[in-house]
Amino acid sequence: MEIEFSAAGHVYDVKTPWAARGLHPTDLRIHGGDRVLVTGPNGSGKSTMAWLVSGQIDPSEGSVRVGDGPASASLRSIGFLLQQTRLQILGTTVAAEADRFEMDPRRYELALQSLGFDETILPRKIDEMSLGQQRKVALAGLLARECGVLVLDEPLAGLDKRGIQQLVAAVGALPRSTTVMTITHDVDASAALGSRVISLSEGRVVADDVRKDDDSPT
Amino acid sequence: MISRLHLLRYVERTSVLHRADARTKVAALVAMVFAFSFNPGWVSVAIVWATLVLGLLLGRLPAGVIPKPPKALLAAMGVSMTFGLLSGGEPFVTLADNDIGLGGIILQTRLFAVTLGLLGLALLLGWTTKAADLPRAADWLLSPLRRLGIPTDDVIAALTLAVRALPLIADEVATVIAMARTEPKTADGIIGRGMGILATATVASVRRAGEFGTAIESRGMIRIPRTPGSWTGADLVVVAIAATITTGLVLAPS
Ligand SMILES: Nc1ncnc2c1ncn2[C@@H]1O[C@H](COP(=O)(O)OP(=O)(O)OP(=O)(O)O)[C@@H](O)[C@H]1O
Ligand SMILES: [Mg+2]
Repeated sequence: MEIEFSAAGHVYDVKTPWAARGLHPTDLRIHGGDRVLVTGPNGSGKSTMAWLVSGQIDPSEGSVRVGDGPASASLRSIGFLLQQTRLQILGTTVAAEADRFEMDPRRYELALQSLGFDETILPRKIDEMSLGQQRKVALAGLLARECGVLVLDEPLAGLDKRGIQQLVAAVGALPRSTTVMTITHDVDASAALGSRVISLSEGRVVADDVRKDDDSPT
Repeated sequence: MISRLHLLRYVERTSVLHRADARTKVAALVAMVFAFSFNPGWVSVAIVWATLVLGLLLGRLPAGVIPKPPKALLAAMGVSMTFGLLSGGEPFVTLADNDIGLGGIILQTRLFAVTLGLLGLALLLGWTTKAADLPRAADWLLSPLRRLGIPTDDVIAALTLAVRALPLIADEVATVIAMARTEPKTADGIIGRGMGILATATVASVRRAGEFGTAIESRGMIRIPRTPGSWTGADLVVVAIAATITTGLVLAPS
């Protein structure tokens, strides 16, 4: 699915005394199946951009299109891995989480496997898992859903080297048609998740380049 | 879509309501609610709403502070209004040869007007008072009880925690609900999903509370400065207005 920002910006609590700008009006196009990275310092608007693509917030200016219509019309085709992952896991154990996928629980198990879990993980309580493990469990749920767009907000935070490799491989194994937007502080560590890097600063896109392979340190 | 409910949000302004001490405003609110509860007639409801408008003007608050009611609330109001209409009762009107009893719906309307009006007064306190000042005000209000030997410190500590944690928790619960709604059809149906949302929201809140607990443990028990702030002319204005309104509420015909 294609993503297009047309002068899309966002002010939180617009028209109230608490109005706070998250993103200035931005034009941006991400073709279907592209893999892009979004980077920038704290508070630069990365998560705001992610929330806009997810369709969970409507831009206060301009529009965000995902596929054929506004992002908010495609909520179910857009997978969003939250920065606060715990808030998107509704099951109390991994097995309970697996059970919630009526259509094809097999797919969820495969996704878990691709992230390095075996069946011993199923009875584990979510709240007794590390943050990195919780993030992988949540991601498995999204991978099993076959989304047209996948938005990952800081997916590597708290993952060890192997976890990063597993995540990169699992995302890499998605169908070529899946558009993936990865928010990251560490462009080098995320290089395998996309070569186009969109840099934000103070709510504006300040750079939008394609990294060449020889840019990356060896 | 995520819909956030803002609780206890201060609006930076300079106004007589902002300058008045938190103790004065809390005491005024308590007095008005107390007087109202003894005499909740239509005239009193009108006084509460007028107080709200007066508060918005005195506090120099823009109309933008008024929250948009969540759709679920509007739906619930619609449903209960319908039941109110069905339950009938006096007075009756005749419409196309049918006698329709308006008693139920009038009662419903009054209930909503009361609830929203009182809620509005509480919000007014939040818009004009820094959240950090509220526990101190409550402590001052409860001090007669403390002198009687009733332990109020725990109440105040709980209040301090609630004031700090509630906005964060409300935000997280909104996120949980919004994310749950994007999920594909699941095996557990609407009730199961509701339970899941509840469980995750609880976990998020408990974790927050735990973090606050740790913070308190490492810094010692919550202590509220018992040094009273100084009173200003603004307090006198608020007291005078609140006294007038409270008297009006007591004397209003029911
Ligand atoms: N819910 C909200 N209400 C009000 N303002 C917000 C909200 N969320 C973010 N902001 C503001 O929007 C701006 C951009 O925030 P955003 O969360 O998008 O940054 P970020 O790049 O994701 O930062 P980080 O690296 O810390 O995750 C910040 O100034 C922030 O204060
Ligand atoms: Mg962020």
